[in-house]
Amino acid sequence: MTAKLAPETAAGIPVEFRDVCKRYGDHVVLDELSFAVSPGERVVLIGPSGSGKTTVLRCMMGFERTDSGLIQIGDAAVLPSGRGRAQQRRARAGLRAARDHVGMVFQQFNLFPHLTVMQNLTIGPRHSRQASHAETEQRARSLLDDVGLASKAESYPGQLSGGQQQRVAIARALAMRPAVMLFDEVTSALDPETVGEVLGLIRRIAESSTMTMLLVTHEMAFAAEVADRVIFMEQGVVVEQGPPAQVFNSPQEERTRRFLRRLDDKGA
Amino acid sequence: MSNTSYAWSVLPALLRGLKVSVEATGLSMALALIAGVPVCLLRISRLRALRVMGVAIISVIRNTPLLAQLYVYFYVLPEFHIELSPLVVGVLGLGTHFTAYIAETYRAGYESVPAGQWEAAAALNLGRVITLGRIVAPQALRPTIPVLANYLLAMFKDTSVLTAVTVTELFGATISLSNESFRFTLLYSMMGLLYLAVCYPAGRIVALLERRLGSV
Amino acid sequence: MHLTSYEIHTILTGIGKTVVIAVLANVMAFPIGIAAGMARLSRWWIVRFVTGVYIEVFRGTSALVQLFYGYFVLPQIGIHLGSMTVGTVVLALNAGAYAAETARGAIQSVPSGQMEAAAALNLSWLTTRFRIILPQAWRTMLPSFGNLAIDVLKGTSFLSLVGVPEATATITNMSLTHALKPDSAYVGLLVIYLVLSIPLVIVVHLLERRAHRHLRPVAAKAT
Repeated sequence: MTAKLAPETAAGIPVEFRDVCKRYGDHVVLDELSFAVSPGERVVLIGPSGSGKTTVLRCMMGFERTDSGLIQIGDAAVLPSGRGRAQQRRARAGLRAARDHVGMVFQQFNLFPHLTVMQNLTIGPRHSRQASHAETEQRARSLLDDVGLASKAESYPGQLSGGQQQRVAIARALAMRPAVMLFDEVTSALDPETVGEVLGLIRRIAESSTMTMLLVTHEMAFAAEVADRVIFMEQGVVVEQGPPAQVFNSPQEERTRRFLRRLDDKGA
Repeated sequence: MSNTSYAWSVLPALLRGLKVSVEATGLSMALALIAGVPVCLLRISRLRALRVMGVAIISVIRNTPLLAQLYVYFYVLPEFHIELSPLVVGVLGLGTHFTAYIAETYRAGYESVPAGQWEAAAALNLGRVITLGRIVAPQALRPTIPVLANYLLAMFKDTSVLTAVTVTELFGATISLSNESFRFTLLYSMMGLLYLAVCYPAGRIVALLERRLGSV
Repeated sequence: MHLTSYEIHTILTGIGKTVVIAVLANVMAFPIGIAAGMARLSRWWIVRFVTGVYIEVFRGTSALVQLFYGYFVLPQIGIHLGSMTVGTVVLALNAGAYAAETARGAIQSVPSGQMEAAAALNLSWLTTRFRIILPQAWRTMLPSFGNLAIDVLKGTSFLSLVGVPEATATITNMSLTHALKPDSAYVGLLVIYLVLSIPLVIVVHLLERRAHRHLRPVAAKAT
C-alpha cells in the first residue's frame, strides 16, 4: 500500500520562527512566536480559529508580512516588512529563496482553471528553469500517476471533483521539488467522502519522502498518525508542544485541555 | 486683446451654452426615463411578438450612432411636414437614444428580483400587475439608480452632438467663437475645463452611489 | 431612387473608411485599456496617478469634443496629422479609457488565491500577470469590450464633422446634393450601421463562448 512516491522530493531542511510578531491594527495575531522544526520533521499545528496557525504558514510564504522577528527556512530568511529600499530588496530576495524551498497546498485548491491539469503541473517548473521540458513533463506525468489521476492529464479543473482537484494541487506543489511542504487546512473545503482520499495521499507522502512538513488541520486522528510533533497555538503563541500521544492524551496545559474538550463535545 | 481678457469676455457666452447643455440633458433624461417604461414592458412581455418588437427597437437604437439618429429626426421629419425647433429635435433624439439603454436597465433591475418574490406573491393571489407594481418594482429600482446616474452623466457629455443639428449648447458656442477668433487652444481648453468641472464631481457622486446602492 | 455607379462607389468607399477606422481604433483601444487598467493597480503612486488623469480626462468629456480638440488644437502646437489619423487615435484613446476601468475591475475580480498559488510556485511577475491573471480576467472583460467595440463603430460617425469621408459624411453629402432623398438617405444610414454591427456582435459572441468553454461549475459533489 505504501507505493513509493515519484522521483525524489528534496531532503528536508530546518524551519525556525524567532520572536515573530504580526498585528492587524490593534489585534495581535502572532505574539513573539518562537518554535523550531528539524529537517524532515512532521509538525501539525492545532488551535482555535484566530489562534494564528494559518498566519504562520502564510507568513512563511510571504502572503502576510511580519512586523518583527525572523523566519529562517534552511538558508533563506523571511524578513519583516522594512522601510529602506535596500531592506526591501533583501526582503524580496529572501522571499524568493524561501519560495524555492517551500511548496504550499491551499484550502481552496487554487488550481488555475483555464489551464489543463498537465499545464497546472508544468507551469511552475518550466518557469523556474529547473529541468528540460521533457524532464518536467515526464516528472509531471509520473506524479499524476502516483496520485492516481493519470487519466485526467488533459482535463480542466472544472471537470474534476473537489478531492481530485486537491490531489492535483498537491501534485503541483510536489512538482517543484520542495524541501518543505505546507498544508493549510487542505481538507476543510471537501465533502466528507473525499476527505479520506486526500488524507491518504498525504500519509503516503509522509511515509515516502524526507521533506519537512507543516500541517494545519482539524483532522485530529490524522494528526496523531502522521505527526512527529503537535504544536497547540492560542492567541498567537505556542501554548504546548510535544509528541501527539502526549498532547492529545495527557496535555500539560489547562488551555490545551479546554480546547481538546471542546473538540470532543462537537464530536470532531 | 490679451488671452486673459478675451477669456473673461467670452465666458458669459460659454456659460450660456453650458446652461443649454444642462437644460437639454434634463429634458432628455425625463423623456428617456418615462419612455423607457413602455419599451421595457415590451421587452419583458409574455407575448413573443411584443418581445421581438422590444428587442428590435432597442437593438436599432443601440447599434446606430446618435448622430445618425439626430439626422433622421432633423432631416426626415420635415418630409412629413413635422417642423420642430433644433432644441426639440435634439431632446427627441437624445431622449430616444437613451430610452433604449434605460429600458435595458429597467429590465436588468426587474430580473434581479429573485423568483421567490414572484412565487410568494402568486401564493397570495396578488395578480401580475399588482405584483409588478407593489412588490417587484420597488425592489428592482434600488440597484438601478447608480446606472441611471451614469447615463445622466453620459447624456450630458453627449449634448455636444446636438451641435450638428444647430443647437447652441456649450460645444456649439465654443465652435462658433473659435471660428471667429481662431483662438482654438484657449477656447477649447476653457470648454474642456467646463465639461470636466461638471463631469468629474458628478462622476465621483456616481461612484459613491454605486458603492452605497450596489449595481445591477 | 436611381444612383449612378459613381455614387454607389462613393458610398461603398465611405463605408470602407468607416470599417477601417473602427477596426484600427478597436485594435489599438484594447491593449491600451488593458495596460492602463493594470497601470491603475501599479505599485508606484506616480503610475497610478498619471493613468488616473488620462482616464478621467477621456471619460469626462465626449469623444466629439476630444476629436475637435485633437483636430484644431494639435496643429497649433505643431503636430500636423491627417484628420483620419487624429480621429482614429482619439477614438482609440477614448475607448481605451473606458476599457481601462473595465479591465481594472475584471483583474481585481480574479480570486486572490490565484495570485497566491502563482506566488507559491515562484512564477515571475510577467508570467503571473499574463498567463494566470489576464486569461481569467479576460472572461469578465469580454461583454463590456463587446459594447465598447460597437461604441467605437458608432463613434466613427463623428469623423464626418471634421471632414473625413466616411459613411455618415458620404450619405449626408448625397442627401445635400439631392442624389438621395432625405428619408432614404438617413434611414439607409441607420441600416448601414446596423449591418456593420452584426459581424462585431458575432465575433464577441464567439469569443465569449471560447472564453467560457472550460468553465463548468467547480464541482465538489460527485467524484
